[in-house]
Amino acid sequence: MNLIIRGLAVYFFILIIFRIAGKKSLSESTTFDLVLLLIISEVTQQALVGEDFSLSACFLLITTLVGTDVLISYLKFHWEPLGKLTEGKPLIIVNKGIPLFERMYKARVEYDDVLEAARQLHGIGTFEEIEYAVLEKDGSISIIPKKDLSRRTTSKTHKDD
Amino acid sequence: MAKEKTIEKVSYNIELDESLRAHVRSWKLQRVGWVLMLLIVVAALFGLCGGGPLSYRTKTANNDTLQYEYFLRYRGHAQLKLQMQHQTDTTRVGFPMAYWKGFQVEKITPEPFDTQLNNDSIVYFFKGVERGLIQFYVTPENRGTTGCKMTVNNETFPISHFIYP
Repeated sequence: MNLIIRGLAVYFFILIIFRIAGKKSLSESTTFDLVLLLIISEVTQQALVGEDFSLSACFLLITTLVGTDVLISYLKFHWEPLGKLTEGKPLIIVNKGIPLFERMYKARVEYDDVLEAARQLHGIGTFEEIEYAVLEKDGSISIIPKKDLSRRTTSKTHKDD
Repeated sequence: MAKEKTIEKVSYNIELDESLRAHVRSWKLQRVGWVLMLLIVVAALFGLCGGGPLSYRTKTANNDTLQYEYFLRYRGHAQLKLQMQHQTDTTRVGFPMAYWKGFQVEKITPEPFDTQLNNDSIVYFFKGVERGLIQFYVTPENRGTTGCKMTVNNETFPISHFIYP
């Protein structure tokens, strides 16, 4: 099969399979996930190049993959539904200190994942201190702390100074 | 529908385009995708992509048996196994060239003592076949459906394959 068609087939297959797998698969990886990704890349490489180890095949495939990615991002920018389809949208999973369990369940985000993000990003340890937690398009969790808490933290920092 | 209602609706004052409907739709599609992935894996285990009971085919003619796989993969390995009950002094096994050109022959056991090209077909000649077993190890070089009528002495075995890209 033509190299370019193989490249396009692999690109769209990976796009679909990761979209089906969900955002959780793209979030912070464990060691096992990293190894799994390496295995996937190895399997993909064999199907992509076959027995053609020429430099021209390599250049052609890289150009096809990067070019397709640029084209998709251009189309996403000009046509929003495509972005929704390929990347999804951010999702609020904690609202004014209350965890939204049904949303978390559907998005396969665990209670501990949110608290871990809160600890790492803002050094806060309870849901009460979180104004919003958002599951972003890339699978990461961003935390917006409550405003009075930010003020408290700021004034405490000033006192320490 | 009942499950959709349980998903919390929230009002928020940050600049965020959440689009809950799109999320609900994508969760549904994801579940369908997971089921599909499971079905594909189970079907593959049973041989839908080769190497299982769904793929194995056996043809019998005059007590001679030909075993082969219907589902093959491009540049994967394939085998045609001919088990003969009635052994003759010389066994002739023929394939139409149009079919045989789609495969790369890796190995034939036992090795034929002669090979002839006749009227768009290739014929292998075997002598004194041990245990009556002839095996062709081949690699598919084309994709899609293919097939032929393989001849063994005066018998005919219809073969067909689907080769995945």
